[in-house]
Amino acid sequence: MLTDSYGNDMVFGNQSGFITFQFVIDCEGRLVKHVKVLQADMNYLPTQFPYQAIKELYTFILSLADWKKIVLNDGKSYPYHSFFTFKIIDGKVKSIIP
Amino acid sequence: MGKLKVLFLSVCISVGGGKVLSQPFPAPDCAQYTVRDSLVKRYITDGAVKAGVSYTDARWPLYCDSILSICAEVAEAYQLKALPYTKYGNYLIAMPLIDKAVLYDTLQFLPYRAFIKGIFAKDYDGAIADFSLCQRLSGSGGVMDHSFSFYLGLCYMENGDDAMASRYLSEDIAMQQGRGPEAQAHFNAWLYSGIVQMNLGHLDTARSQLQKCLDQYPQHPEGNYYMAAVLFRMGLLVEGKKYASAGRAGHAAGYRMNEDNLYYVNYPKQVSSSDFDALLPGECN
Repeated sequence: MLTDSYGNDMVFGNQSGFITFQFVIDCEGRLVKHVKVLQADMNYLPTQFPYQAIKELYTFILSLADWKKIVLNDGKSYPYHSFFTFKIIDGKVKSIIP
Repeated sequence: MGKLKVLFLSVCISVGGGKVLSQPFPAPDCAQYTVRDSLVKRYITDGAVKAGVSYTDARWPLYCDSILSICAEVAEAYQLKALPYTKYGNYLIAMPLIDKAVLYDTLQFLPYRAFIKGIFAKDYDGAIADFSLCQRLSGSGGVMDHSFSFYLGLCYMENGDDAMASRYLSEDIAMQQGRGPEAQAHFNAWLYSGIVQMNLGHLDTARSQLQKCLDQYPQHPEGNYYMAAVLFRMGLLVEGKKYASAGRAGHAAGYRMNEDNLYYVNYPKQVSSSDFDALLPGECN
């Protein structure tokens, strides 16, 4: 489980909140490296987590392969938006959304 | 030329001398439910929807803002504007909008906010606070096909408080069964109650509750998965494997928990094909 392996070694300090990475998966099922990062605290207000923590989570996302290809009824493949939100509690990744 | 002059003058008179400019259009009474509802119909149902603009479209917020520019108190417009941000994990923008919806129509949108916090944002403490307030305000109501008690049960379960989870899930099941002699509790109510009983170490109860889930929905991947887990803990390996295989087959065939928002978010304790691989090491589909 990612939530087990990530967290203890990571550099979130004691912060809590949400880090969301929004990105696009292209027609070939590859992640397009144009990623938007959103950071909120537990009250859904803007905050900033340490750069190193964001970088490590981003590296984890880039390590993921086998993204689904979206093929619609016309038989064509289409790009799509996707995201991951990491919920951080007291400096540890507690859950991953969706 | 003479005719054109007359036409031009008549246009000038009708625009310049008309009531539109001299008397401003009366402001709508935004306190009236019918006014607020008609604005949603005008700009969403008859506007965005008919124009083929879905909430994923960049123009969607403009339709919502059109409503809010006329009446800033239309709670539904805030909730609709928040939709794309909620679905894509942008809680920074979504939550203040949903808060506004709650402010202007608490009874309708507090349950929605509680649901978003509990199921989407996994903010279980926030969801428990909101769902508890929902219960105080409107008793045994519900949202998204389930009672407040059901969601409270899920939130406590995810927070690791299985005793409280058991209390609320039992309450949810009793409420559903109390609707009539033929009334059945939802299969996912049995599923989560079964999981909580398993967590509490009440394996016989867990088994019987998960069986009730599977009686209604035999292919239920999670129902089969957790039934297998319970049976393995009871030492019934052969029987457990049967359920694990049935769950894996159901999952591979596309069966899911049948919750409306499953397309956008994983529900608590939802399983994937890799979970079945871990449960059945060395076995293939």
